[in-house]
Amino acid sequence: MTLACYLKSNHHTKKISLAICFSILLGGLVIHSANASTLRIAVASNFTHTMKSIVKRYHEKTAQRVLISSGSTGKHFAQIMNGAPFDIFFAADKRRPEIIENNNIVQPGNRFTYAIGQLVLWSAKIQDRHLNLSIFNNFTNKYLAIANPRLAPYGKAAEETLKKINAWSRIRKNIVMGENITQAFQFAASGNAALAMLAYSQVKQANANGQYYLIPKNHYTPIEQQAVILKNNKNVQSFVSFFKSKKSQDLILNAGYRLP
Amino acid sequence: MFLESDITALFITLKLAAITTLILLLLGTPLAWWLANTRWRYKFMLEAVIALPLVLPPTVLGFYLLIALGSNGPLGKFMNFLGGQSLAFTFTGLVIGSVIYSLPFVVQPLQNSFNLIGRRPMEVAATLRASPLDRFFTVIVPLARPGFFTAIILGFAHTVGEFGVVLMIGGNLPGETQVVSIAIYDHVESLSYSHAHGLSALLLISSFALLITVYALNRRYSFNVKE
Repeated sequence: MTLACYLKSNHHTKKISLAICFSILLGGLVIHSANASTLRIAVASNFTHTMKSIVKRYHEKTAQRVLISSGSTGKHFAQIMNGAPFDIFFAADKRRPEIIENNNIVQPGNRFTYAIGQLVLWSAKIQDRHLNLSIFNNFTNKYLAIANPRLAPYGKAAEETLKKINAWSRIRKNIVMGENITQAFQFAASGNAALAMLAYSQVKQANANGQYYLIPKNHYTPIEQQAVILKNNKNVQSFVSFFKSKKSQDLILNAGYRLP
Repeated sequence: MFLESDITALFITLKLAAITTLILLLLGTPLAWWLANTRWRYKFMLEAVIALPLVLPPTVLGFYLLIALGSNGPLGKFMNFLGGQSLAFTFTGLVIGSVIYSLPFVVQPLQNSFNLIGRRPMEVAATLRASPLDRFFTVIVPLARPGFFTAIILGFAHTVGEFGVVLMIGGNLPGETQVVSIAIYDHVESLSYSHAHGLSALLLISSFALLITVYALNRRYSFNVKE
């Protein structure tokens, strides 16, 4: 196409034909990307690994392209509010999907809980088989790494747990915060923090050595992870129904989540 | 407009930048002087190492520091050996990180201005029987004043703007390692835009004022040289 444009042009019309060529090329690009039946999903970091294995299974029965954008729910949310072209958004909490629905970006009824996160206490250092919350009764000269409660649902659950056992204000100066659970994990895995409160799914996935203790679920508000369908079409529906099938649900359970 | 925690973060940031700049002046001045005068064959290698923080993403630097400070890292082992705590999540740890991170911003302007002065003034002063230290402080330092101004202000401003390194090794402890850039990031991520706006505007205006000072001073001094 470019060649044809070039041949047609002489020095009188060069500028105009160049402009036309450009718009044709650009138009082609736009049409191309609109035609492609690529599914774009935004996935919270903690669920990315699980999502990838689900998509792998999905590809066993369809050739449809699926693009996974992994990242923090806060950033995805800001991108979606500014018109990012995602088809489905798998958030790490239910707050952001709710705001999207309340802002009339999608019709009601396009939001569902897809997994419930489990909070875990993990240590690479402490070799105590009976690791549990009583470790906070006497917690000095050590650090506990959590995700920032203002930003991350697992961080908020960690704060709630510590408040429930009346340890929060007592050990506050020993709590270091990562921007997300991945960073909290790094703090503890590098040996800088003795303990971390993380997602069970994360500890399972990292296959990390060390001890862990599943924190009783009555200690914190359930970490409901919700998804919201941003564009409803046949491709999206086919993926969502696969996502809700027994096969996928088993993958989610195995990854360390509870199901709604 | 500003939360109490924001004021604390602001104070920590200024303290961090001031201490870092001071240490960098103490370390950077002899280093820059040596670099400007040495005829060592492999000088370029050291220069490249000093310039590394200019091109490396700060997260890389922070990541290495986190590993190094950890209980299995060399610095962590050394601290254990001394019987001390890990330096991660402490103000001291941030100072170490910032010194590395802002090193080129202090060394390079100093080295340039030492190069510009050349050997001649030192030689003349030597004929007047001035000792090496005396020559440095009474001849070189006044002549290199614009270089020192640039180094101080850039080192300070660059540390104020630090984010990636602090994010990796800070742990966001209020009153200890929570600096302004992290506080802004938290405000933005948690959608409290009004607080983010206040702090961001403050940083923007003060950074701009600092840079204007650098350029205005450099202009004045370059005029002086011409006279």
